[in-house]
Amino acid sequence: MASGLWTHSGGAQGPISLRRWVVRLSVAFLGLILMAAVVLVTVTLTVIRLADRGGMGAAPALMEELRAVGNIERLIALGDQFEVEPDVQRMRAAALSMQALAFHPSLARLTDNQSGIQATFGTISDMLVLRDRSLQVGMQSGERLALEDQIHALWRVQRGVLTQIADEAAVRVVAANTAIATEISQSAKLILVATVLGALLGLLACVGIVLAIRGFFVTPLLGVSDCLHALRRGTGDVRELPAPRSQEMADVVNAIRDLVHAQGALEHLALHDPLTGLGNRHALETRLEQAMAQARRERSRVALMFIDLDRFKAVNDTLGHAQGDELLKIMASRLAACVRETDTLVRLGGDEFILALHDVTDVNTVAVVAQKVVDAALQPLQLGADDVSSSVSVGICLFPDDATDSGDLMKKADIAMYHAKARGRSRYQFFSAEMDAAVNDQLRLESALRRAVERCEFVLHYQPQIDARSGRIMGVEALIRWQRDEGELVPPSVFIPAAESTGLIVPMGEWVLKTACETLSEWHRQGLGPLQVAVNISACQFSQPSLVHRVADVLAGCQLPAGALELEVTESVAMENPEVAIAILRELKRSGVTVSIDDFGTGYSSLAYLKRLPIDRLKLDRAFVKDIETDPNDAAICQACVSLAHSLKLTVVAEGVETERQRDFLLGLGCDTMQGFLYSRPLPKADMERLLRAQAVAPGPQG
Amino acid sequence: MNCLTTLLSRLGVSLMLLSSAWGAWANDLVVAVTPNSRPFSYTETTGELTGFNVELAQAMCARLNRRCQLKTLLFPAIVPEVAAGRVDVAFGNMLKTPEREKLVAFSVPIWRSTTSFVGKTGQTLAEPSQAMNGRRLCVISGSRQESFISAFKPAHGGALQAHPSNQAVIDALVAGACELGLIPTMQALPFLRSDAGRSFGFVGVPLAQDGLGGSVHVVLRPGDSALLKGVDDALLELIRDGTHEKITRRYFPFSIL
Repeated sequence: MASGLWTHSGGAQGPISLRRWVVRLSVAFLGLILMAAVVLVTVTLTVIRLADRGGMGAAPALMEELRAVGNIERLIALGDQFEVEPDVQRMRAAALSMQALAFHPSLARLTDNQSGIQATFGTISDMLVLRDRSLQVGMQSGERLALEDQIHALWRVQRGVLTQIADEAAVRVVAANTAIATEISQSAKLILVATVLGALLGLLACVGIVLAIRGFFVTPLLGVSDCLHALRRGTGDVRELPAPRSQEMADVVNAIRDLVHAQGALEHLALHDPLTGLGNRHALETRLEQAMAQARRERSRVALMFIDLDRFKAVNDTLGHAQGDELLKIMASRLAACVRETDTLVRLGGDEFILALHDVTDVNTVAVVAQKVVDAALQPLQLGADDVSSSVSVGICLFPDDATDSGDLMKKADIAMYHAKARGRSRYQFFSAEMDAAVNDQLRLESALRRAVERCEFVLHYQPQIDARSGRIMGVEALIRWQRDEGELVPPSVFIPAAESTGLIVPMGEWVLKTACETLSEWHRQGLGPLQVAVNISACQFSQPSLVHRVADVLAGCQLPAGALELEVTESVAMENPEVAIAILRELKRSGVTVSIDDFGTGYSSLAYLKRLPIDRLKLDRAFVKDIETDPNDAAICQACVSLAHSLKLTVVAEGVETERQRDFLLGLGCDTMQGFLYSRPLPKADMERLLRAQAVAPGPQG
Repeated sequence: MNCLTTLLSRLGVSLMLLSSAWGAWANDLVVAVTPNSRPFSYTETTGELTGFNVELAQAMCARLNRRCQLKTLLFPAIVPEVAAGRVDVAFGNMLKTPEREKLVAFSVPIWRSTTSFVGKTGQTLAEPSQAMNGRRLCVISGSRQESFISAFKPAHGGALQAHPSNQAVIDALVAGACELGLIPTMQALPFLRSDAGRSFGFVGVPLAQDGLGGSVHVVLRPGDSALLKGVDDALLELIRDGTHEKITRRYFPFSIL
């Protein structure tokens, strides 16, 4: 499994492991989250710091500097006022203000040149002294002007110093503020860039994750889902499963592939006949329903053919099951060659095949196909060393003409098939309503017969067999009669075939054997013997291996000698499988039972086989006896049969002797025993008894 | 929209009512100022108390939304009264010293000053240590200046005189009771500029060392941090919005902070 895992993906590097990637991605995301947290904290702190620098936090310092600059400017203004103030009092006030201001702490932190400002104090003191002197009474104008010039000179120097300090301070304030503003704007830009980049990265990561989920998970999952849907509808193919890009999806896809294969195999197994590879009964049901639904929709027909191999059992019995299976396989392939892809061909089991032709618009095509099937089966074939001739019988039923449900269709096709078989096999037969009626009669008969066996509605009639020379009753043939409830007596020709087809013939045969022996035993006890009773053995009975034992048991039970019983086997039964028949008959004969061939001359007896059959007696069929006087051929056949029998040391019984002339003619041929209406019709037990009793008291030939 | 406006205005009205009710309910703030400390606090001829400190105190009270109950206290009484809690806030031109900080709380600075020797013009003084060398020196009782100058011994008939207020020191100078006064420069300046101070001037340069220069604070009842914070915030806001500067300009030729 694992080694085959990668064969579907094809790629040299193979699909990735989602399990491993989930761990890796988790670690990566943890790292990203930590980074984001660090960035967020940094940005937050930066913003707070900037806000403080540019906001309230910066205000006091800024105001202090502005106040300081303002105070220097006032110092200068006061000095200028002092220089020109004519009013002595105001001049002094200005001077004193300047002195107070020069040392005022508000200027202390403004400049490094503290002494430059504080020097103003001394300068003002000097200027005050000079001014006082110039204002003294009696001072000459020249001297006063000189003093004033000194004052101006002193002030000019100090004013220059103060101006420079003020300008520098102003510049510094502006520079400091500009620096702050620059830092704020740059930081704001940086934060903006970081935020945008972070958002973009986050977006990219999201898109990447979405694409990865789509590529590795969603798309394969949808592909799997689509494929599964298609498979469920029956239109899918496992090869349409998506090529997985991850180990885990590969596991899923491979598991699905395996499951689909397994399910397919199971379905195939459930719906197919393992021997021929054709569909089986379950497949037929489904396909037939589909076909009928389609026919209903399109107002067309479905033709159901019931195909049965003729004499398949014989092949199985003689050549063995292996060859039988081989024959079925060959037939399956021949049948398959006759039909379209869209039709349904299944093997029901055994040698039965069903062919359903879908969407039939012209019934003639059905006949054509049926003929093709029959012809195909007839092709010579070889099984091992044996050449085998094969044929099929086909029964055809049409939907919706003959039946409208699958069960009915099958049943009626089956009926039609049996008709084809009855008509001589190797042919096809369309179903007709009459068949249905016949079958219904047959079914009624069969069920009545089954009831009859259970209730023992049968009676035995006995027909005497007359010794040709003595004219005495040598024996009787036991003949079964069906006495129905209503008193109606059903002739054997009606119910024997039904008994054979249903298998009821076996219990019936047993009953006949037992009853006949009991009756004979009773007659023997009454002193009505010696007498022999002849009982007909059916083909079914004959093929039962227990026949010899059963016969011995019945004879022992009735305390009869084996020689009191004669078993009649028809020529066709004996010749169906002569080697087997010879063995059985030899067994019977060894036990002492008399064996005779019934209806002699109607079959196609091989004289070679006849010679070897261990029998005692031939029963000449009534068909030859009937026209013995008028038809020279029949007369010749009878003569030949009698000669043949006698030369094989067999006695001959002539059946159906109705006239005296027939009796005389047969006597002339040397026939040993006579049976027929001339002597007596088959009689109920009591009548037969009376006849036997009469013979017992009046010896001599009977009329 | 109208409904909303009405609602908002009603809300505003009720808030105002609430706040005024709060103001009426809250205790009045007892504020002390020194008498006769022109131009910081002095009585007009009309009997009205005025001056830089008075106006600043009133602006502060308005900002605190409390009513100022002004009273005058002589400088030496200020710290004991405030420490005892009988006065909430005092505008006494008080320099911050470690001893005072043990007794009362100090606000943010409200102005700054140096200390100057004041006397008749023509005098000279090279060192403060020589101030009482044959000269009588007047100081404000309990002031930082007094404790500073007490470190030096009077000599040659010199002496140290302590007076209860700034004005008392100035009066002593004018009356000739002492040759020198050691007082805050900003309190000396108005006197020197006045007619009475015509023949007086600064003697020697102003002093800033040994606690003689620096910031002047409002002193507050100790242990009331809420009051301190309120007063500090109010004062900073007054400085920030220019009210402080405006009041300064009415009394001084330059910014004194």
